[in-house]
Amino acid sequence: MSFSTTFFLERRIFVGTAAGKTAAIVILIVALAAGFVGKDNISRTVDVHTSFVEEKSAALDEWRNAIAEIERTGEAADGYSANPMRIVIPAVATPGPLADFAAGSVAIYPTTASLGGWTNAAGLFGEYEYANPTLLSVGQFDLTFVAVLLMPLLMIAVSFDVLAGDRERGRAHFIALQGGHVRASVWERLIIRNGMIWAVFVACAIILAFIPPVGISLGPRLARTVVWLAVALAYAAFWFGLIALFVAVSKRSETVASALFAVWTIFVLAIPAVGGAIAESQYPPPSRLAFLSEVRQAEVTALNETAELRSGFLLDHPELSVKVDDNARSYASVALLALTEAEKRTTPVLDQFAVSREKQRQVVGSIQYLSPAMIADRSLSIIAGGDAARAFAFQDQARQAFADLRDRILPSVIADKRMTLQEYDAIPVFAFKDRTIGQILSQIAVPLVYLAVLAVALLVAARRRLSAPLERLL
Amino acid sequence: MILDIARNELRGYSRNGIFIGLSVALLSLVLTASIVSGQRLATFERERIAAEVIDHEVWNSQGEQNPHSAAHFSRYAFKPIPSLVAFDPGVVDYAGVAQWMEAHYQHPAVFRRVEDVGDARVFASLSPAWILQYGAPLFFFLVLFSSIAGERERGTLRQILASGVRTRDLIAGKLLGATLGLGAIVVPALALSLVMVRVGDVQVLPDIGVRSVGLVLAYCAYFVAVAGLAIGVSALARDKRTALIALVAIWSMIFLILPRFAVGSASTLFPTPEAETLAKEREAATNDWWYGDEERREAVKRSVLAEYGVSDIKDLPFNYGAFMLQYSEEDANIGFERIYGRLNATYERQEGFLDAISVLSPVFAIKGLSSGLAGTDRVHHQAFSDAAEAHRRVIVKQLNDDLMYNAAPGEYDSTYSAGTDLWAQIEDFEHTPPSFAVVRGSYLFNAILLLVYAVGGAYFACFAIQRVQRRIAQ
Repeated sequence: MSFSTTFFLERRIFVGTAAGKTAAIVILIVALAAGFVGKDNISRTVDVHTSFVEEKSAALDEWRNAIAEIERTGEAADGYSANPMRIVIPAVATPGPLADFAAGSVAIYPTTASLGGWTNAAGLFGEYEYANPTLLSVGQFDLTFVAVLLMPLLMIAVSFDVLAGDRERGRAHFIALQGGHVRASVWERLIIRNGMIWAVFVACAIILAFIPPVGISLGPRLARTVVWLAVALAYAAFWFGLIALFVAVSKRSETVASALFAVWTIFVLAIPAVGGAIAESQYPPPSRLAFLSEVRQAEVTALNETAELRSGFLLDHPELSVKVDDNARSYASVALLALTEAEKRTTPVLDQFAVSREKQRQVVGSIQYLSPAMIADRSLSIIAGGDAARAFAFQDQARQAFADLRDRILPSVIADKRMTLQEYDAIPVFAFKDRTIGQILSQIAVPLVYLAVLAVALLVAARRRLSAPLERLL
Repeated sequence: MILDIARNELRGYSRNGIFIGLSVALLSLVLTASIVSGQRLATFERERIAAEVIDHEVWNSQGEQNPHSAAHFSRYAFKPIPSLVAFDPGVVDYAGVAQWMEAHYQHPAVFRRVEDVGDARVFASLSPAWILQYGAPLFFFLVLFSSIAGERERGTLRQILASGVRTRDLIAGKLLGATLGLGAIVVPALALSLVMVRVGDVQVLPDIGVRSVGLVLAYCAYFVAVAGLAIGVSALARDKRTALIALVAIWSMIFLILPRFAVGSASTLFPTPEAETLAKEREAATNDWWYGDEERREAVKRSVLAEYGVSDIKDLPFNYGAFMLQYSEEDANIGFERIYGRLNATYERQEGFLDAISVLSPVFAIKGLSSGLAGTDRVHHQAFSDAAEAHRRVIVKQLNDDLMYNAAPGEYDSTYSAGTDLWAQIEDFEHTPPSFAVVRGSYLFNAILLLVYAVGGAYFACFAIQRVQRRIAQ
């Protein structure tokens, strides 16, 4: 029986039937809807970032004009004019090139920060916790969700009866009697059925890739799409191998189906849930409330010790003379010193958060090898730029930029000296450094190879099983 | 006869490998989830209690301060976690746990625990409620898919009906068997998780008895609905295979895809205002008074001077600067009510959309009712937030009043300071979640819908079995 004959048969019994068309339409609708929901979210985020940067930049221009005017005329309008404490640098986490493909957990993290003297690392990201918790608790709807959860279910639904159903209906015997190759037809039918649903999904992903959200350039996006699709297809290959093995092993179609659904539940729901709980209980994060108390305690202590802090600072910087005669500037120096000192005292707690996160990430990174769904989800999110590590990278970079800014303004504020235009112009503009495609590939390489090896092993096992004598197969 | 049929059903379960395997898996998961959730709850409460103690100490030990500076430093309200969070965490991980009660600003609750979890728990959460809401239906479907279709395939259904068994006895027997068989697993699971969560030194809701009974009833109704659907589909399906596929398709659609799709659509149709926008609006609410219409401030001044029959603020029997601070608070509060009112209205529209979708998917109905009964949904979070805001207004007024009546009359007096006596007068924030009777109106729709689902499920099962009987009779 040639491939074209199998295709003709499949068109009659699956592809052209209501079931086949329904499967294709479901994927089409769900994938496009997920894509457009993601696109809408990212476009909104980009709009907010744009206006945020524009507003802060306008204020910075105003500040720069003021200092230029002071340098030109030698006179300041008042104590607040061109005060270094009023420099606020905008920092934004630009969405990943494929961010609309994987909202991941990014929806809960801050994507903007105002870097300025009136804050410290603990309060850098302002208050951003406005998303409806009811919606957050249900989870995000994106293309990664469709690829990782829905596609395997559909693959099982369209494939579980490929051999067992034929056996139950006597069609397999008929094919064998006609001189057809049952094994070849099983493979061909699995490829046709799964190929059809994946073709629809891949087509949707490609269409969506060519319609980027506002502010995302097409070039890097297409490169990421290729890698993203490669991972999605490797994940599909794993499920294809698993389905083929169950199809080859089990005699009854309901046994194939229920066993595969059970495996799906374990891989997609149970292991990730248990894995997350294990990671959290093994390496619990420090208490955020204790951190808050620590910050407040440190602020009070630092405020009460301002005089000592100031003299300590001046001992380190004897070149700075202090003559504070303006209320505003004096208050600013006290606040800056107190915030800086409070930050120093609470940095160990912030570091503990990072350590706990890293350890949790390592535990989840190990547990992912028990669940291909976790490998796929993590890898697809990383490629798309929707993983938590990227959000934390932004936070780290913003903190570094903030520390740099504070180092630049601190001497001027404490010594009551104005910054020069030259010093101001030397302050770098914040630009989020995203991972390169090479870094991403090196990050996902091992899990991906593992997934590919699993898929090949399953396909080989299925092939060996299907190579059994025909009487055993039938 | 009913008992004989039920006994036969139970015998079938005891010999069914899938049933035994799934029962063990479900019970193990619920047990694990209860233990893990209980531990988390105990940790949360320890952290909260410690934070409250430290906040109290930090506040009282701040030393001599101007009351207005103290009002800016202010205090934090920490959200108590009800014991039932270990059964159903609801939105607890996705909503802030601490609210700053600062002068001039109504802050949102911050510090969401989900931010410390990273990429883990993307698809599932290990809580008893999650397992019962999503896992139990799958368990029911995988066990019950052959309940009627299997009998029909084996020809035993024809034998039973031919032996003169009445339809209603058959339906009653089947439902009783399913109820006892599956109930023997899910009811202990539910009871176990409810009992385990009450262990430990946590805040026990005053009406926990009513809430627990409500939870049992709600889940029973949910299980009846799901079981009825499973039996009905099994009866209507051509064979076991079709029944299984139909039920898994239904599960994927209404328990997996639809909730996420609904959430994606709700956030697109009713977007939450962006954090930056809200921050600007909050800023404006408080700054409008100080930097807005000067004539308005002058009018207030004139009216106060007229009321006291003086011509200079220095002649007033209080500090006019402190009066203005309190006046500005009350003015800003109107703005905050508008801003947060709009935000809450958006949340309500989003949740209203989910309620509308719950007509198609019972999972939203049970989710809403379960988290409401557990005191862990947004309604209860909002109650905490509102209570914290009310307390903020009391604190700020107390501090402003002290400044107003103790500082020298005239403009704002930054030299005046208060000490421990005043700080000690500020009461700690205490919050008891509202009793269920107070908030029950929010869950009426979910409760009615669940009841309709239960009655509809049972009716559907009866209808489908009667239909099968008629067909066999023909």
